[in-house]
Amino acid sequence: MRIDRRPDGLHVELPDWMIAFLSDIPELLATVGTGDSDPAADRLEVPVYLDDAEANEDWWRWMGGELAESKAADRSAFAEVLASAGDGVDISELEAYAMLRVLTETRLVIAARAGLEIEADYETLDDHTLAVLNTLALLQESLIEALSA
Amino acid sequence: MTTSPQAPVIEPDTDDATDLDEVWKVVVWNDPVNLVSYVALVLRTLFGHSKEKAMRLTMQVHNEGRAIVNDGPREQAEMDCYRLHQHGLWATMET
Repeated sequence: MRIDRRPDGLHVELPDWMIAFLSDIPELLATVGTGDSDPAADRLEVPVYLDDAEANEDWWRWMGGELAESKAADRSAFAEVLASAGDGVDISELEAYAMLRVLTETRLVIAARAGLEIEADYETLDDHTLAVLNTLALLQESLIEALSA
Repeated sequence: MTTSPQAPVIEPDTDDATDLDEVWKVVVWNDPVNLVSYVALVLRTLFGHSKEKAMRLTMQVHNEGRAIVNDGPREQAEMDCYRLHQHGLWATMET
């Protein structure tokens, strides 16, 4: 994996195994909220007003659709970057932030479905889930480091 | 010495005035998933906080469970919450 700062963005080059691994993300995120009960959907639609159910409902009614559209746009940008990342691709800062948001959402979904609610819950995760979360975090850290350079 | 005729006093609608003038605080809550470096970057990007302030607020979220990251009129706070949720952070607003 190679992620470097460029004057107007980042240069991203990812190994084939990581591209294959990340390619499953859009499909995973598309499953959020499709079942009867999904802790991932609960995590992604947390209340904005803690003490006012009506105001919270209003907020989600007005903002929820726009939020969903924004996330869909991020996933498209993410998929486009992945399609070229094997040979190395220059991406804008906006695309880098879209990637970060998709990686964040993915980690939140996986963690919620694995029952991770507090730090101590990491000890209860199986090795596969932990490895997936850590791999996504590694890519996030690399993007953040390059953006902050 | 004369005094001006007493003008009728119109009581301001304090409820509306309070609502317009009220300052809403935007709160970010801790979660065990988001990276410290990511939260700090988001706070810098969205609110223009310095690196030091963003990290201080992030560590406050991490250690104390929550931190007020911005404040302002209700509409602005609602938009701040939108942008924070867009980035996967749990944000609420309160007066």
